[in-house]
Amino acid sequence: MRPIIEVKDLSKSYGSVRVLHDVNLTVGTGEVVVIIGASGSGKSTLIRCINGLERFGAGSIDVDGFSLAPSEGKSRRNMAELKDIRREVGMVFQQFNLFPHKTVLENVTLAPIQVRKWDKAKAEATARRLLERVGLQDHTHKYPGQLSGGQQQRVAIARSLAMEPRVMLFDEPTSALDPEMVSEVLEVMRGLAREGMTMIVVTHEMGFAREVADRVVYIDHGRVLEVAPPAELFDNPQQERTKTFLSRVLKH
Amino acid sequence: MLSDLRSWAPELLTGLRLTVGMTFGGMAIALVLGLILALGRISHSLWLRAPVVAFVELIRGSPLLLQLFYIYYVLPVFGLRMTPVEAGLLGLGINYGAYLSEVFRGGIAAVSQGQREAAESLGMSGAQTMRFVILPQAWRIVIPPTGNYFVSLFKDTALVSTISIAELMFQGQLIASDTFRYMRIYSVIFVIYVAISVPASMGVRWLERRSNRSLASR
Repeated sequence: MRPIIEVKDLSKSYGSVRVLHDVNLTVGTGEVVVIIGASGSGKSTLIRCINGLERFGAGSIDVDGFSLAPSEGKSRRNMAELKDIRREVGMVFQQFNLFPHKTVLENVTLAPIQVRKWDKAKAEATARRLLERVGLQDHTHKYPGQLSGGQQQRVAIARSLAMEPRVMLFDEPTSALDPEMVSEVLEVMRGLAREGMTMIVVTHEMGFAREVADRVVYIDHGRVLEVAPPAELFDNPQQERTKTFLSRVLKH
Repeated sequence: MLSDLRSWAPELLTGLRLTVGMTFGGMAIALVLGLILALGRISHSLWLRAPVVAFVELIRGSPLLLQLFYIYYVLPVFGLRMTPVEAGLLGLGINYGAYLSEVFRGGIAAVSQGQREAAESLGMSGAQTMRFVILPQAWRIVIPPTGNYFVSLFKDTALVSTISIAELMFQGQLIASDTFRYMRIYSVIFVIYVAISVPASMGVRWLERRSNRSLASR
């Protein structure tokens, strides 16, 4: 499997607090990697670094041949570099972050029209196809505020896919949802994984990790402690801290 | 009383027309300038930010009347000669632009960071994010305070009478010095200002309630 993401010796600090320590992670094309760990362990920060939403102090990130260099402390960032990376990488947020003043359809077509310079007809045709895929073809003219959380998150996934990313990042996509809406979002993500999308998912949904992930990464205090296929990591964790974490989250 | 009113009506109407014109003209300048100053104020570049901050503080820290005198009487010394109306529009526009820039800056800051991140992660540039995502949402937030400034500007146009613009206040003064009927003419002027600004304020409050409702439903 050809690697599409290579994170090498990534370190990041907020002031004097080190939040990522020499993180190394390689993700192959079509691979689904689930990142687990306690709150504040740095798992969200890691994926936010991958599409340049966070700066980092040392190390490097390569996505499909494009690389991001450390930029912590510098006021200027290399915008061309960021633009290339973001073209490759889609991101789904915990809080959806849909544009509340735009309809569902406009949410999905905005970036393709403005960034990819597609004409409106092409962008809308693509958007309708994607919205159908996430089961929201009947809601295209509603505003985000008129949708449930689960529906909003599915629109957010469609919006991200409209840019035709090679990699999708999910930052706790179901954490802000009412329990009955979690499964509809996970179902869409399962579908993406089946179709071969490369995905990095930060989540607390251990069932999803076990079922869909090719590999699970356990992060603790900003360090990657353990990386293994889900069956190994969940059933036979090597590290003491992984065991403790899993016993806490899998208990119920 | 009625015969007085009838004989004053042409001058008062001319004055009112100019007052309304100064209000809309000043506001148009203020809106554009306010947005430019707000964007300068939030710029990452210190070279852009520092002069903008200095300018806004200069304007907010001095009386509008002084600014009008400065533009009309002092700028000609530097070769910038303007008609009274041009000077008045510029003075009102700059003064209100400085105040509005703070309103706009607040509105822009009130749009959540998540909106910026979503736009960035879709590959949108800073300018695209501002134009398509941040400003449309900020605009809804700043409509009520901007409306209040609009009504306030309407009343402040009376100050430009001091640089010989023949707006409503100026016409009142002319009539007063002609007829010595101070109570009558200034009461009429009073009523005209109030008859316009009070309904306008009520309109702004209605807009505010409406925008609160539409934000609450999200």
